[in-house]
Amino acid sequence: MDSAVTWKRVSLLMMLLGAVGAGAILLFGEDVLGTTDGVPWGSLIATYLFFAAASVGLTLMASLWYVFGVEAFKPLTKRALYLAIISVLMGFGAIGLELGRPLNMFWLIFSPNFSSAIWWMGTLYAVYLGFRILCVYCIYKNDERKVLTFSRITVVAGLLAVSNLGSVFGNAQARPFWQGAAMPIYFIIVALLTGAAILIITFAMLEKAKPLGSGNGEALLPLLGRLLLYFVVAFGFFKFWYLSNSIYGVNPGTYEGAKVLLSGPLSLQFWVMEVGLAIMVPLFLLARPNSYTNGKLLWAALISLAGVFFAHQNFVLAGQLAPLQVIPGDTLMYQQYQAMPAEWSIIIGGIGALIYFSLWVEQKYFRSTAAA
Amino acid sequence: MAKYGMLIDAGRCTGCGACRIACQMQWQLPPEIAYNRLEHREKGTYPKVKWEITPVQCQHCDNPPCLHVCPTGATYKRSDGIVLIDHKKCIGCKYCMVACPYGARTLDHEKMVPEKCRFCADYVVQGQQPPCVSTCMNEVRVFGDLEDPNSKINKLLATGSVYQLLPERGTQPRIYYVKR
Repeated sequence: MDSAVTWKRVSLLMMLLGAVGAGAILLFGEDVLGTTDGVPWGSLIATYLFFAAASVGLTLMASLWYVFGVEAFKPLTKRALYLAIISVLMGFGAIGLELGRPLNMFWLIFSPNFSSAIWWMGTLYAVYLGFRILCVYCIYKNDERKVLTFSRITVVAGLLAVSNLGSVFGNAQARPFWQGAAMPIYFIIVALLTGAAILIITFAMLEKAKPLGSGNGEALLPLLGRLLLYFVVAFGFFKFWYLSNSIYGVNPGTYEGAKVLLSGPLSLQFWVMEVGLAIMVPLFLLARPNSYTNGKLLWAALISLAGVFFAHQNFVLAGQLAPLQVIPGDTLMYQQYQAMPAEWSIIIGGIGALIYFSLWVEQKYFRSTAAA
Repeated sequence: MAKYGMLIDAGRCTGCGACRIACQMQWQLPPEIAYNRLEHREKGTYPKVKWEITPVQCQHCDNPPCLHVCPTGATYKRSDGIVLIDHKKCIGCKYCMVACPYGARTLDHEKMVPEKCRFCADYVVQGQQPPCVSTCMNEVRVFGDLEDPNSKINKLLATGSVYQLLPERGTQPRIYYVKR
């Protein structure tokens, strides 16, 4: 348990850093964020997307047993459900800090605008979280029948929530780089990738912690590794065609957004952090399933997760750094955005909280059960 | 019922910025916040080069994307066509800023509300002109009732050749520009 104690301390420090950033945002508002009128959505939105999509990804992975009956995935279901709840709560934390007036959120109930994708996002994620918590409660009560029912509902709610998350961007007619029916599909792919990577990390760590660990990671990890490989390939496939079509079509706004990534202000972050970490390195590590080791899978998952975070950030920013063409014939300049320390601290704090609460749940519920 | 609109003859604009200052004075805005802006661009090639200035602000669209995306209905449209923000309902999600193709919104860092031109709603119903209109030395802007056939704006719209910004977006802006 020494490593668990170390990780708890490290994650507490990360959370403390996040708390400092959160305090700064609460005290000074947008002044400590890198957002501007030209780029109103920044890293905190990317952080929210990361955790919100990860949560649904974990739920979908859990559904492989609960809903689709694939027995090989049975051992991961309970942990996936707990992690899904923690993850979505971290996401809510990030979006709560991004919102300028979060206390007015009760108007979502008393004055709903059904044509707003953000209204649907809030509602679907609230329904999703509610059923997810109910599901965990029923697991705690050993009511398998209700667990199955609530799991099925949660999978549907989760799929709707994460695809609607894509629709928040896909509906933004003013930002052609985001706009389109492909976004909901893209978010489901990213969710699956993230969920598989988090589960690999969890089970690889549990394997390390044996004999107390009860994760059945030996059989599960190669399976999860293959799944991660498929999701990375799907992610890369999507990115390739989306960007190549954006460049080929030269549609106003879409073309500029793709250029932001490929050769513009985000090109380094795109090629190194997104293509490199989210696609190329995991592909290299996962390409030969016969050569999988726990260490290799752990690194592939960790690196792909880092890459996915930057992919979210690139996605959010590329749609905004491409300038709006308001006056025909205007010479357009890229918008500027730089993530500020407060934003980085929230990202670090969120990851720290995910680690800390995962360890807490592991020790409180899984280890105590195993010991008993 | 009146339907308010505006006609902008950008060819008359000298770029003095009085419209911006007048608006800031009217709404007691800090210097860094403005509800209207001037877009500058160079047109033509040497030796026939022109510097063109175009005033841009909230277009008070008939089909406003900022209204459709607002999750709490904080952005609303009055029956006279003016698009306004109910501060007490705004959650500060900034979706309206992302959705506006004109980049017309600006975040008020104190109130944390994405603000914009209000067409001086409380004043125009009393027959007053918005200060960006009345302060301009060259009468770049003409404000009036689009439903009134005898209004100055309607007469000018009938005689001149005009265009709207980004009509392909389907926003149906209520601000018209005189073709140069």
